[in-house]
Amino acid sequence: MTSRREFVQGGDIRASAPAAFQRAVFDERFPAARAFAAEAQRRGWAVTAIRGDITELWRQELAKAWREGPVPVAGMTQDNALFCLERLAWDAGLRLTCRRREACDGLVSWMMLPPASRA
Amino acid sequence: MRLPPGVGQSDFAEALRRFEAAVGRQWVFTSDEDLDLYRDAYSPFWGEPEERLASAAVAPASVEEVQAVVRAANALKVPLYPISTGKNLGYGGSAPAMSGSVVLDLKRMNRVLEVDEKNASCVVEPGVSYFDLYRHIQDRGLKVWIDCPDPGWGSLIGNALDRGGGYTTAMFRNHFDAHCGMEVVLPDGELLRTGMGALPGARTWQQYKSGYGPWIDGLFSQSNFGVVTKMGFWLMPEPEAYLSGVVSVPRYDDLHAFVDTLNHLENAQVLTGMPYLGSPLLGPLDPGESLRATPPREVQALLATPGGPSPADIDRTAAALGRGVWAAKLQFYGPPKVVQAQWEASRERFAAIPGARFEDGELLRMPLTAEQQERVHKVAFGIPNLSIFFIGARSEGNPNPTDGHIWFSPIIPRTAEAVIEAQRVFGQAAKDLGLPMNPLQLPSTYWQRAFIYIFGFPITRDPAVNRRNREAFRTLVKIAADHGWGEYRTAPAYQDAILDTYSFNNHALRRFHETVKDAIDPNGILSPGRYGIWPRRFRGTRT
Repeated sequence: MTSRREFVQGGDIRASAPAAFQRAVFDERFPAARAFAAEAQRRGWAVTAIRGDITELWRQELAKAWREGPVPVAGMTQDNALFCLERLAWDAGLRLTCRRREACDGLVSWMMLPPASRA
Repeated sequence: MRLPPGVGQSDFAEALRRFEAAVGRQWVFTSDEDLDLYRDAYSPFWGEPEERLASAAVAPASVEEVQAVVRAANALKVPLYPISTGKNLGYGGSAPAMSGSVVLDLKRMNRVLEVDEKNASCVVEPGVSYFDLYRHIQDRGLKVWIDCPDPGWGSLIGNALDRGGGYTTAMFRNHFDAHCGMEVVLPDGELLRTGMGALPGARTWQQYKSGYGPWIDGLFSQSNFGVVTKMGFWLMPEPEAYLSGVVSVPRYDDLHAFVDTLNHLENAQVLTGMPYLGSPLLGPLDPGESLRATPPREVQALLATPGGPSPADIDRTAAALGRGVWAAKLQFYGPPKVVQAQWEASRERFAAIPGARFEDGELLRMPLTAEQQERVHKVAFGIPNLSIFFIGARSEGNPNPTDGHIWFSPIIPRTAEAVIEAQRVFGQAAKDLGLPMNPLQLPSTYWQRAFIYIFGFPITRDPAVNRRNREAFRTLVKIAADHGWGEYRTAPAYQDAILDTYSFNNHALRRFHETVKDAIDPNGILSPGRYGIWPRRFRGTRT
């Protein structure tokens, strides 16, 4: 089982991924997600908060970023945010490579990588 | 490797080779990992043998590539299933209507070809989403609005061809009616333009819809007669202002005068925006907010009345709570003086109902500020978003959200009599089938001359639950048809069943569809089974 810290570091997937994570998404309503974001921020990633709905994240950041290329993203959100993000990520050529249920608040932690980065 | 029905291994391999030659090897997908992306996440057959799955997918980037793929498929009789962005969740998603079809994924064709501000129109390719067109317009500061459905990630073309709806004025929120001209690749690879697009040199393709002769555009909606590669749409000029107001009436029986007044105002174009109908007993009227609302305890008790509450019970509860029984949020777009006059004229009409009450809304001038954009019902302002996906989120009140939904959406007459009859009939059916049904739920007003009731069926990952829900759905389709109410749109799982209900004169409509299908697609390669239209070759496959 990957720890949260390992997860934020990219865990075992990072070992085979040439593109390091630079971007993280978290649902700021929940303490576990805030802790995830704090760690990601400490590592210098661009961190974006959502409150359930991903519309603004998509319009203001990801749509543009993913038009330019399949930028890897990690996150800790609820299922429906991941559901939407995953479908948008597919169109950008990313795939969900890791998904883990957290213990509280219906949260799930996840990573999306371009296929070339996958082992 | 999964094979399309009736296609041998060597022919399929040859088809894939020709697809690769047409679009490039990297845009032909055959691995399970890639094909999983084309599963319908809201399939009522999820994980069961009947789930519709693709055998491959091919993603062209141009009309010429579409033609090459279609010609190859036609030569080798390989069925194709075109999708635009494939996000028609609740009504089908990106999975084919017939398992084994090759998904023709058009999302790489994502160019906004034109936005003509003066003509208030646009031309787009199938992969252009509402988000894409909105951004294009905003980036250029153009003073036109789009009309979008609840989720803004879908394709304008895909939604219009499925005859979806939005939230602004009647002429724009009917997305198929708002189109003007299309370009279509026919099953033999021939390229066709409709309307004025058929006249070389015409500069009126997005100005005059019907061109000359039979107006055939409707043949390409909810059908499988061609691959639409371009479509024009009329856009709404950005209004100077928006005004809303709420009217409520105090008694159950007021519904008759209430609906008649509403219809008159909308048909006379006094009421320009979409009316949001509901019962103040249940909470707010805005669609998103109403889905989140929890009614007060007294109303919950009322709804729990064995056998359902009587009109007198409802009237008493409404009076005790100081609320109306029925209400509408009326919306107006235009210059401030005009929208204020329209609201005033609407008030005068509704004031004929004794006890009618009115609540003035805020006058908003365009463009909206960021703060205003945040708090308004965005789709009523042509702002695409994904908020609908977050209404049923996991929460204390909803600890086990479902995995999706599928819509049962019958069209009923736009009268109070029909509403009351539908509430009675569907209420009884819901009771018999063990489904929830709220006797105060009013239909929606997407379409100007008819009501539409929209009921969500949950989709789960439990086949037993899905099986029960499928049975219930089919039962409701039949009950609705027995009362003259037909679905306006549905997912592939029910398309045969619903076309069966449109059975006037021994299914003359279906037989006409089949005659057209066999004439223009004799090899039956385009979307076999879509909307219940099967080519001769696969007609025995009908469910």
